[in-house]
Amino acid sequence: MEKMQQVVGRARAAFNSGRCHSLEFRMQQLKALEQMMQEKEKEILAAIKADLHKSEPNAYSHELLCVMRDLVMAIDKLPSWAAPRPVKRDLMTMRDEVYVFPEPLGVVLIIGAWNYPFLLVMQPLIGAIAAGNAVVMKPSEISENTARVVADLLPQYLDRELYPVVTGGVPETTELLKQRFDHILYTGNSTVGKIVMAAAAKHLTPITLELGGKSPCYIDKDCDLAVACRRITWGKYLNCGQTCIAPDYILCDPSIQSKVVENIKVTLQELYGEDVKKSPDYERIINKRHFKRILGLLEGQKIAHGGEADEASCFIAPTILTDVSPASKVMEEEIFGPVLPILPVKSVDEAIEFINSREKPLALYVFSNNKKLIKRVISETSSGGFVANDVIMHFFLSALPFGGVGNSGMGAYHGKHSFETFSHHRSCLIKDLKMEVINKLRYPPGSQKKV
Amino acid sequence: NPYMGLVSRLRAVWLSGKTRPMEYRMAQLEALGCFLDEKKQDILEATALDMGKPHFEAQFSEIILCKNELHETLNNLSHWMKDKYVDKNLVTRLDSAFIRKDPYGVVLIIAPWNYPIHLFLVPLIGAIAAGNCVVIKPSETTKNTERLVAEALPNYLDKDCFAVVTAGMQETTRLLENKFDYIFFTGGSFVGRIIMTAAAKHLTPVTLELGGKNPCYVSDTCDVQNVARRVAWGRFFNAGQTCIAPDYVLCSAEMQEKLLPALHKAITDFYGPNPRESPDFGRIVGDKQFQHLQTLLRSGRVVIGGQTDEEERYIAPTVLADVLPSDPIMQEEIFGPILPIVIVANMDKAIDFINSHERPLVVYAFSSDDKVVNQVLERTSSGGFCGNDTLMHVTLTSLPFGGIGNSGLGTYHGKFTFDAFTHCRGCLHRSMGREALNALRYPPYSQQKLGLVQAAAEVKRKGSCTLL
Repeated sequence: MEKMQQVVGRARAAFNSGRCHSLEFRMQQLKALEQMMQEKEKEILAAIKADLHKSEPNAYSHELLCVMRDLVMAIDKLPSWAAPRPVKRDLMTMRDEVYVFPEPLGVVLIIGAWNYPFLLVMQPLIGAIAAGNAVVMKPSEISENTARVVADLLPQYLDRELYPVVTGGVPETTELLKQRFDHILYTGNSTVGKIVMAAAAKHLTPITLELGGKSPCYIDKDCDLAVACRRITWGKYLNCGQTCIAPDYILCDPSIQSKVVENIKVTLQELYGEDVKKSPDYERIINKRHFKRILGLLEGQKIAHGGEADEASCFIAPTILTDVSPASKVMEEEIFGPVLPILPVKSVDEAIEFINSREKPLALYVFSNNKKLIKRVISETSSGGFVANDVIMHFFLSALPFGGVGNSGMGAYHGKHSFETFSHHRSCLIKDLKMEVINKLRYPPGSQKKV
Repeated sequence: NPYMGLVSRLRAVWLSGKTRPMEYRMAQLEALGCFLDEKKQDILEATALDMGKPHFEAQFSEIILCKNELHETLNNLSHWMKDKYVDKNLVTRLDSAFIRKDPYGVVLIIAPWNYPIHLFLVPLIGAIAAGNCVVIKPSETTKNTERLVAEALPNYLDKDCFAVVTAGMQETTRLLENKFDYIFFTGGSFVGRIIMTAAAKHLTPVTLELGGKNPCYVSDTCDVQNVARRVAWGRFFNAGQTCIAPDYVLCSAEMQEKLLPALHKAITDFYGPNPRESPDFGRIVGDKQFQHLQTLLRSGRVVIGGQTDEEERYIAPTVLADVLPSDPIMQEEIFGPILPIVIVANMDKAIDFINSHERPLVVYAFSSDDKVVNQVLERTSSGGFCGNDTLMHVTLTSLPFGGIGNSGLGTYHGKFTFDAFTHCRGCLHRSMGREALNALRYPPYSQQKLGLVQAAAEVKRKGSCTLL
């Protein structure tokens, strides 16, 4: 276990040596990552497939493409992001140099999750390197193939002391969290999120917690139901429902419930064909534990579609539940699986009240042609992010900060927001030693005139 | 829990949306302005009673600086509140993408005793501006100010949405058991850890404005008298009880010899030959703090000052020379009117010394040579940096104020206070039409689709055609 202390100690010594501060060094590391993405694409895609039964095109567009995009942006923008930022001066400082200088924080810890196992360590890593930090990465041990590939590949391309990859499970992570870091970015669930924050508190370490929750999806009667259901179906069953921003459950008027079900069924056929199990584009549940957990949520529910499962391959068919009660088990925890409950509500007021009576979600979705209604839902609710008339797509727009609020997390990243998250914004005021006359105003002895 | 009722009541009002409209927030902020105007005398008297705060200082820090922040906020709130539209990619080009500034909900502000009005009021300005409900916990150490705030503030602010809680350590612990949506704490690192640990139980985000020992490097090339004045002002303001005060000086033996008489002159210019009689020099806030400071005087040798009076809790503006890094006064934040000078051979040694200690709230460097100032800036890390002066960087509302590492996390002042209490919510508003464009993302997948997806979503590198 002292191994963790050594790894972090080495990263800190390497950071203190100053070699990762220069922009040239950071660029060089980012370009090396780019090279890795090109040369080792096959190995990475194969690992993701082994972990999640994810098809290559899917793994490429949902994980690798996002990483490449952030890499290209960081390499392009780093000089402008890292430059000192002059600010407005006042009368007393009119002749001084006043600016905010983005500086590295030091040694950063990134803990990844298993559902997008490559993306969720790599995307933060890019921002952390760009900001000039040393980075310790801990990919999720549950997606073991991707963890192994990250642990094998990164040292071949990046500075080994500055950017070590640590593998292991709970004991190793616990030991890692005892060490002192200058920022921790954790992706996972709220329960562990609290543990991470408590560990960070011991060292006063700032944190970014990308957690989860139940992301509600309200379908208004006034909308193009076919389009809405197609988009929802895509987002819900992507990665077999194992997406932190998947629409977790639907709220809609009871009169359109059966139409919603029909539309989703039609889309499922379009996307995955007659036999979902045979579609190369449909993933599997990550492991037996989650497989059993998700099946357990179906107990006592009205299954309008799906429900088939095969333990040997961790296959659960795309499933829809209707007339679900708010008090049922499937409404207690984040589903993180291909099960879509529909809860009838009589109005948008009821939907808003329902959403607000629960923990703030990571994402909130509304489908409606009525702009006023959409504006109202945004204004009267709170969530990490929000999309009207689609799902998930805000994730791919790096100009939007991606993160949660309340139980769904704190802090944000993606694109430039990653750079900001992993930087310390140091305020700098540089005055002249002359011009003392102006200062006399503030020195004692005081007088009303001076005031 | 004695505060559960209060927090639930505030949360219910929060959910009703009362604090959201801009007009409401502006009205509450204007009311805060009235509080500062109408209660100015009471504030000056209370802070004088609590810690002998000189009227001039109190006007500057508790009234003028607060009004600056208030005006900055009132002038810009409508702009800060607006949705921020962002750049879109090819796929979302025809959509509406923006960042919505959402309040967190029910927030808690815990203030310390050294600037007892300023350090709750400036965060409060941002919390109200951002649309939150607020629980304010002023310091129990400055009893007169605490009473003033508890009695007078509710007459200015909407009692439905803003509450003042008076509490000692035990009660504050119970207060922290409740769930808040944001906690803003100013105080010491030890308590900062306790606050963050309590916040972790509810996943509450925090801003911690803590402290530390702020080093002040004085190079051999400088206008000694100006340096002495600026350093003395920063050190002895509020009798040294300032989180951003220069805590200790690092300089060469030669510079120490020049600084000592210059510091003596500055102190005499400011406070006269007997600072105890000056209306412009403060007192120590409490007996406990006073007694502790007395023990720290036994470090190095007293060259200026050193006199104390227990009854008045007076400690003269004091300068200690030849202090060693191992001396008691160098082991903790001083928070009193004592300035130790530690000899270092040169700038490199000064930088090494600074870097071998916890990162402070601010690093100060004095030199007429720009290069020296910039070297110290570049080779150290701290919350903020001020070259050739002390304290002044926090008077600019355009600079974010906060610490790093042990000196804190998060920032505020000006718009940064509004930002601290705001959740930036990424919003995307798409149209129901143009569904054909989405076809690219739906299974069944194919290499051809992938090529198009790649092309549509890519960020091209400027000046190159390929990703190599």
